[in-house]
Amino acid sequence: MLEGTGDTPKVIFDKGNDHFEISGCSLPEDTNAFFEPIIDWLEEYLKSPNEATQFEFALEYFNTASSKIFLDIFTRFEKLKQAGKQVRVKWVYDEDDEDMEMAGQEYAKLCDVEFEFMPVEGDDDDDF
Amino acid sequence: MQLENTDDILDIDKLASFYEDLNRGNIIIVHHGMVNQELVRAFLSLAREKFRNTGDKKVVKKRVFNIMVECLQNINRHNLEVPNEKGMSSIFMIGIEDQDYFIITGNIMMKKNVADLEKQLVNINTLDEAGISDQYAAVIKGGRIHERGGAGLGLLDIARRSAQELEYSFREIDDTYSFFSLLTRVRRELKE
Repeated sequence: MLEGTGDTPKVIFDKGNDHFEISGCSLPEDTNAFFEPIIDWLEEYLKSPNEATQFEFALEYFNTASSKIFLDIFTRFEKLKQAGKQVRVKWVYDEDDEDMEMAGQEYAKLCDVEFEFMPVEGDDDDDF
Repeated sequence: MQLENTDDILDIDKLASFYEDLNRGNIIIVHHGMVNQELVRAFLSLAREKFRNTGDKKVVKKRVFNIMVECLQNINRHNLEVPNEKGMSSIFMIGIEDQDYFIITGNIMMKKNVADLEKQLVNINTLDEAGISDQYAAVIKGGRIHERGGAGLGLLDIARRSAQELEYSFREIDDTYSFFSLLTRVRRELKE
Protein backbone atom coordinates (compact mmCIF):
# COMPACT_ATOMS: atom_id res chain seq x y z
CA MET A 1 0.00 0.00 0.00
CA LEU A 2 1.38 3.34 -1.07
CA GLU A 3 -0.21 6.67 -0.33
CA GLY A 4 -0.60 8.90 -3.35
CA THR A 5 1.34 12.13 -3.78
CA GLY A 6 1.07 14.99 -6.25
CA ASP A 7 2.94 12.98 -8.84
CA THR A 8 2.71 9.36 -7.77
CA PRO A 9 -0.42 7.24 -7.53
CA LYS A 10 -2.04 5.65 -4.55
CA VAL A 11 -1.46 1.92 -4.80
CA ILE A 12 -3.37 -0.71 -2.87
CA PHE A 13 -2.55 -4.41 -3.29
CA ASP A 14 -4.50 -6.13 -0.56
CA LYS A 15 -4.89 -9.79 -1.42
CA GLY A 16 -6.65 -10.66 1.83
CA ASN A 17 -9.40 -8.11 1.27
CA ASP A 18 -9.59 -8.50 -2.50
CA HIS A 19 -8.73 -4.86 -2.92
CA PHE A 20 -6.46 -3.85 -5.76
CA GLU A 21 -6.28 -0.26 -6.85
CA ILE A 22 -4.09 2.28 -8.60
CA SER A 23 -5.50 5.80 -8.41
CA GLY A 24 -4.63 9.47 -8.63
CA CYS A 25 -1.74 10.89 -10.63
CA SER A 26 1.06 8.87 -12.09
CA LEU A 27 3.83 11.14 -13.26
CA PRO A 28 6.90 9.87 -11.40
CA GLU A 29 10.25 11.21 -12.47
CA ASP A 30 11.66 7.71 -12.74
CA THR A 31 8.56 5.76 -13.61
CA ASN A 32 10.26 2.39 -14.04
CA ALA A 33 11.88 2.60 -10.61
CA PHE A 34 8.59 3.60 -9.01
CA PHE A 35 6.70 0.65 -10.47
CA GLU A 36 9.41 -1.97 -10.06
CA PRO A 37 8.27 -3.12 -6.60
CA ILE A 38 4.67 -3.10 -7.79
CA ILE A 39 5.48 -5.35 -10.74
CA ASP A 40 7.47 -7.62 -8.38
CA TRP A 41 4.49 -7.84 -6.07
CA LEU A 42 2.20 -8.65 -8.97
CA GLU A 43 4.54 -11.42 -10.11
CA GLU A 44 4.32 -12.91 -6.62
CA TYR A 45 0.54 -12.60 -6.65
CA LEU A 46 0.33 -14.45 -9.96
CA LYS A 47 1.90 -17.47 -8.30
CA SER A 48 -1.03 -17.88 -5.92
CA PRO A 49 -3.87 -15.60 -6.98
CA ASN A 50 -7.38 -15.29 -5.62
CA GLU A 51 -10.16 -17.00 -7.57
CA ALA A 52 -11.38 -13.64 -8.81
CA THR A 53 -9.44 -10.41 -9.08
CA GLN A 54 -10.91 -7.01 -9.74
CA PHE A 55 -8.33 -4.36 -10.31
CA GLU A 56 -9.43 -0.77 -10.12
CA PHE A 57 -7.66 1.94 -12.12
CA ALA A 58 -8.93 5.41 -11.24
CA LEU A 59 -6.50 7.92 -12.66
CA GLU A 60 -6.52 11.66 -13.03
CA TYR A 61 -3.34 11.90 -15.07
CA PHE A 62 -0.60 9.58 -16.15
CA ASN A 63 2.55 10.16 -18.17
CA THR A 64 3.55 8.10 -21.18
CA ALA A 65 6.11 6.11 -19.22
CA SER A 66 3.30 5.01 -16.89
CA SER A 67 1.09 4.14 -19.85
CA LYS A 68 3.63 1.56 -20.98
CA ILE A 69 3.79 0.05 -17.51
CA PHE A 70 0.01 -0.17 -17.23
CA LEU A 71 -0.04 -2.25 -20.39
CA ASP A 72 2.63 -4.49 -18.84
CA ILE A 73 0.34 -4.93 -15.85
CA PHE A 74 -2.71 -5.74 -17.98
CA THR A 75 -0.69 -8.21 -20.01
CA ARG A 76 0.24 -9.98 -16.79
CA PHE A 77 -3.47 -10.24 -15.94
CA GLU A 78 -3.90 -12.34 -19.07
CA LYS A 79 -1.98 -15.03 -17.24
CA LEU A 80 -4.68 -15.14 -14.57
CA LYS A 81 -7.27 -15.73 -17.23
CA GLN A 82 -5.15 -18.43 -18.80
CA ALA A 83 -4.92 -20.10 -15.39
CA GLY A 84 -8.72 -20.26 -15.22
CA LYS A 85 -9.13 -17.40 -12.76
CA GLN A 86 -11.48 -14.49 -13.17
CA VAL A 87 -9.93 -11.10 -13.71
CA ARG A 88 -11.44 -7.78 -14.51
CA VAL A 89 -10.13 -4.24 -14.81
CA LYS A 90 -12.45 -1.58 -13.53
CA TRP A 91 -11.55 1.61 -15.39
CA VAL A 92 -12.88 4.53 -13.38
CA TYR A 93 -12.76 7.95 -15.01
CA ASP A 94 -14.25 11.40 -14.73
CA GLU A 95 -17.33 11.40 -16.97
CA ASP A 96 -16.15 14.61 -18.65
CA ASP A 97 -12.69 13.23 -19.39
CA GLU A 98 -13.07 11.74 -22.83
CA ASP A 99 -9.30 11.29 -23.13
CA MET A 100 -9.19 9.07 -20.05
CA GLU A 101 -12.14 7.05 -21.33
CA MET A 102 -10.40 6.58 -24.66
CA ALA A 103 -7.18 5.53 -22.95
CA GLY A 104 -9.10 2.76 -21.19
CA GLN A 105 -10.76 1.65 -24.39
CA GLU A 106 -7.41 1.42 -26.10
CA TYR A 107 -6.04 -0.76 -23.32
CA ALA A 108 -9.09 -2.99 -23.57
CA LYS A 109 -8.28 -3.52 -27.24
CA LEU A 110 -4.62 -4.18 -26.58
CA CYS A 111 -5.01 -6.99 -24.06
CA ASP A 112 -7.23 -10.00 -23.58
CA VAL A 113 -8.75 -8.94 -20.27
CA GLU A 114 -12.30 -7.86 -19.44
CA PHE A 115 -12.71 -4.12 -18.80
CA GLU A 116 -15.58 -2.50 -16.99
CA PHE A 117 -15.95 1.21 -17.65
CA MET A 118 -17.19 3.34 -14.83
CA PRO A 119 -17.70 7.05 -15.42
CA VAL A 120 -17.99 9.03 -12.22
CA GLU A 121 -19.11 12.56 -11.66
CA GLY A 122 -16.05 14.77 -11.66
CA ASP A 123 -14.99 17.20 -9.03
CA ASP A 124 -15.84 20.81 -9.37
CA ASP A 125 -14.14 22.33 -12.41
CA ASP A 126 -12.06 24.57 -10.21
CA ASP A 127 -10.77 21.70 -8.20
CA PHE A 128 -9.17 19.47 -10.78
CA MET B 1 22.44 31.86 -28.86
CA GLN B 2 25.51 33.59 -27.48
CA LEU B 3 25.08 37.28 -26.74
CA GLU B 4 27.84 39.48 -28.08
CA ASN B 5 27.90 41.08 -24.69
CA THR B 6 25.54 41.37 -21.78
CA ASP B 7 24.92 45.13 -22.07
CA ASP B 8 21.59 44.58 -23.77
CA ILE B 9 20.21 42.21 -21.21
CA LEU B 10 21.48 44.24 -18.29
CA ASP B 11 19.94 47.43 -19.60
CA ILE B 12 17.26 48.02 -16.99
CA ASP B 13 15.14 50.02 -19.44
CA LYS B 14 14.79 46.88 -21.54
CA LEU B 15 12.89 45.15 -18.77
CA ALA B 16 9.74 47.09 -19.55
CA SER B 17 9.86 46.00 -23.17
CA PHE B 18 10.56 42.40 -22.16
CA TYR B 19 7.53 42.63 -19.90
CA GLU B 20 5.45 44.01 -22.76
CA ASP B 21 6.60 41.20 -25.04
CA LEU B 22 5.40 38.66 -22.52
CA ASN B 23 2.09 40.47 -22.19
CA ARG B 24 1.62 40.73 -25.92
CA GLY B 25 2.41 37.07 -26.29
CA ASN B 26 -0.15 36.18 -23.62
CA ILE B 27 2.57 34.29 -21.79
CA ILE B 28 1.57 33.27 -18.29
CA ILE B 29 4.56 31.17 -17.23
CA VAL B 30 8.18 31.59 -18.29
CA HIS B 31 11.04 29.58 -16.96
CA HIS B 32 14.67 29.62 -17.99
CA GLY B 33 17.09 27.13 -16.54
CA MET B 34 17.09 23.54 -15.48
CA VAL B 35 13.95 21.52 -14.91
CA ASN B 36 13.52 18.90 -12.23
CA GLN B 37 10.59 17.04 -10.81
CA GLU B 38 10.02 19.62 -8.06
CA LEU B 39 9.66 22.29 -10.73
CA VAL B 40 7.32 20.09 -12.76
CA ARG B 41 5.06 19.88 -9.71
CA ALA B 42 5.36 23.63 -9.09
CA PHE B 43 4.48 24.50 -12.70
CA LEU B 44 1.47 22.20 -12.59
CA SER B 45 0.13 23.86 -9.51
CA LEU B 46 0.87 27.32 -10.87
CA ALA B 47 -0.87 26.47 -14.15
CA ARG B 48 -3.85 25.07 -12.25
CA GLU B 49 -4.13 28.42 -10.48
CA LYS B 50 -3.73 30.44 -13.69
CA PHE B 51 -6.28 28.37 -15.61
CA ARG B 52 -8.86 28.58 -12.89
CA ASN B 53 -10.95 31.36 -14.36
CA THR B 54 -10.57 30.64 -18.05
CA GLY B 55 -13.99 28.98 -18.21
CA ASP B 56 -12.54 26.14 -20.29
CA LYS B 57 -13.53 22.51 -19.88
CA LYS B 58 -11.56 20.40 -17.48
CA VAL B 59 -10.60 17.91 -20.20
CA VAL B 60 -8.99 20.74 -22.17
CA LYS B 61 -6.96 21.91 -19.18
CA LYS B 62 -5.93 18.33 -18.52
CA ARG B 63 -4.63 18.08 -22.08
CA VAL B 64 -2.47 21.11 -21.42
CA PHE B 65 -1.27 19.55 -18.16
CA ASN B 66 -0.40 16.28 -19.82
CA ILE B 67 1.52 18.07 -22.56
CA MET B 68 3.34 20.17 -19.95
CA VAL B 69 4.42 17.03 -18.13
CA GLU B 70 5.65 15.30 -21.27
CA CYS B 71 7.47 18.44 -22.44
CA LEU B 72 9.11 19.03 -19.08
CA GLN B 73 10.08 15.41 -18.59
CA ASN B 74 11.53 15.46 -22.12
CA ILE B 75 13.64 18.47 -21.19
CA ASN B 76 14.73 16.63 -18.09
CA ARG B 77 15.88 13.66 -20.15
CA HIS B 78 17.78 15.91 -22.55
CA ASN B 79 19.45 17.49 -19.52
CA LEU B 80 20.81 14.09 -18.57
CA GLU B 81 22.01 13.46 -22.08
CA VAL B 82 23.92 16.70 -22.42
CA PRO B 83 26.96 16.22 -20.26
CA ASN B 84 27.69 19.72 -19.00
CA GLU B 85 26.14 22.95 -17.86
CA LYS B 86 24.63 23.45 -21.34
CA GLY B 87 22.12 20.78 -20.45
CA MET B 88 20.79 22.98 -17.70
CA SER B 89 19.82 25.71 -20.07
CA SER B 90 16.27 25.25 -21.21
CA ILE B 91 13.24 27.42 -21.67
CA PHE B 92 9.63 26.67 -20.94
CA MET B 93 6.62 28.89 -21.55
CA ILE B 94 2.87 28.56 -21.52
CA GLY B 95 0.33 31.04 -22.77
CA ILE B 96 -3.33 31.46 -23.52
CA GLU B 97 -4.65 33.01 -26.72
CA ASP B 98 -8.25 33.50 -27.81
CA GLN B 99 -8.46 30.09 -29.43
CA ASP B 100 -5.55 28.11 -28.06
CA TYR B 101 -3.39 27.27 -25.12
CA PHE B 102 0.20 26.97 -26.20
CA ILE B 103 3.21 25.30 -24.66
CA ILE B 104 6.72 26.19 -25.81
CA THR B 105 9.88 24.40 -24.84
CA GLY B 106 13.44 24.91 -25.95
CA ASN B 107 16.43 22.89 -24.92
CA ILE B 108 19.94 21.98 -25.89
CA MET B 109 20.39 18.51 -27.30
CA MET B 110 23.14 16.44 -28.85
CA LYS B 111 23.44 17.34 -32.51
CA LYS B 112 23.89 13.69 -33.43
CA ASN B 113 20.34 12.96 -32.23
CA VAL B 114 18.69 15.72 -34.25
CA ALA B 115 18.10 13.68 -37.41
CA ASP B 116 16.28 10.96 -35.48
CA LEU B 117 14.09 13.40 -33.58
CA GLU B 118 13.29 15.35 -36.72
CA LYS B 119 12.30 12.14 -38.47
CA GLN B 120 9.87 11.35 -35.64
CA LEU B 121 8.36 14.83 -35.79
CA VAL B 122 7.97 14.77 -39.58
CA ASN B 123 6.31 11.38 -39.31
CA ILE B 124 3.94 12.46 -36.52
CA ASN B 125 2.83 15.52 -38.46
CA THR B 126 1.78 13.31 -41.40
CA LEU B 127 -0.50 11.21 -39.19
CA ASP B 128 -4.17 11.79 -38.48
CA GLU B 129 -5.74 11.07 -35.09
CA ALA B 130 -6.26 7.37 -35.82
CA GLY B 131 -2.75 7.07 -37.19
CA ILE B 132 -1.26 8.56 -34.03
CA SER B 133 -3.30 6.23 -31.83
CA ASP B 134 -2.22 3.21 -33.89
CA GLN B 135 1.39 4.19 -33.62
CA TYR B 136 1.09 4.87 -29.90
CA ALA B 137 -0.42 1.41 -29.42
CA ALA B 138 2.30 -0.17 -31.53
CA VAL B 139 5.04 1.46 -29.45
CA ILE B 140 3.64 0.53 -26.04
CA LYS B 141 2.76 -2.97 -27.21
CA GLY B 142 6.10 -3.51 -28.94
CA GLY B 143 8.05 -2.58 -25.86
CA ARG B 144 10.45 -0.56 -27.94
CA ILE B 145 11.09 1.70 -25.03
CA HIS B 146 14.14 3.91 -25.08
CA GLU B 147 16.56 3.50 -22.21
CA ARG B 148 15.69 7.03 -21.17
CA GLY B 149 12.04 6.12 -21.25
CA GLY B 150 11.33 8.08 -24.40
CA ALA B 151 10.62 5.92 -27.44
CA GLY B 152 8.88 8.86 -29.08
CA LEU B 153 5.85 8.02 -26.94
CA GLY B 154 5.96 11.45 -25.37
CA LEU B 155 5.78 13.19 -28.74
CA LEU B 156 2.96 10.93 -29.91
CA ASP B 157 1.02 11.71 -26.75
CA ILE B 158 1.67 15.43 -27.15
CA ALA B 159 0.50 15.31 -30.76
CA ARG B 160 -2.59 13.32 -29.88
CA ARG B 161 -3.70 15.71 -27.17
CA SER B 162 -2.82 18.74 -29.25
CA ALA B 163 -4.70 17.52 -32.33
CA GLN B 164 -2.79 20.16 -34.27
CA GLU B 165 0.48 20.10 -36.16
CA LEU B 166 3.55 20.30 -33.95
CA GLU B 167 5.75 23.28 -34.76
CA TYR B 168 9.45 22.82 -34.17
CA SER B 169 12.86 24.04 -35.13
CA PHE B 170 16.46 23.02 -34.67
CA ARG B 171 19.29 25.50 -34.49
CA GLU B 172 22.88 24.38 -34.60
CA ILE B 173 24.96 25.77 -31.77
CA ASP B 174 28.30 24.18 -32.56
CA ASP B 175 29.67 20.85 -33.79
CA THR B 176 28.23 18.98 -30.82
CA TYR B 177 25.04 20.71 -29.74
CA SER B 178 21.80 21.95 -31.24
CA PHE B 179 18.93 23.90 -29.78
CA PHE B 180 15.53 22.27 -30.20
CA SER B 181 12.30 24.27 -29.92
CA LEU B 182 8.81 22.88 -29.85
CA LEU B 183 5.49 24.74 -29.94
CA THR B 184 2.34 22.81 -29.16
CA ARG B 185 -1.19 24.18 -29.31
CA VAL B 186 -4.37 22.96 -27.67
CA ARG B 187 -7.77 24.24 -28.78
CA ARG B 188 -9.75 25.81 -25.96
CA GLU B 189 -13.05 24.75 -27.52
CA LEU B 190 -13.86 21.05 -27.65
CA LYS B 191 -14.63 19.62 -31.06
CA GLU B 192 -18.23 18.48 -31.34
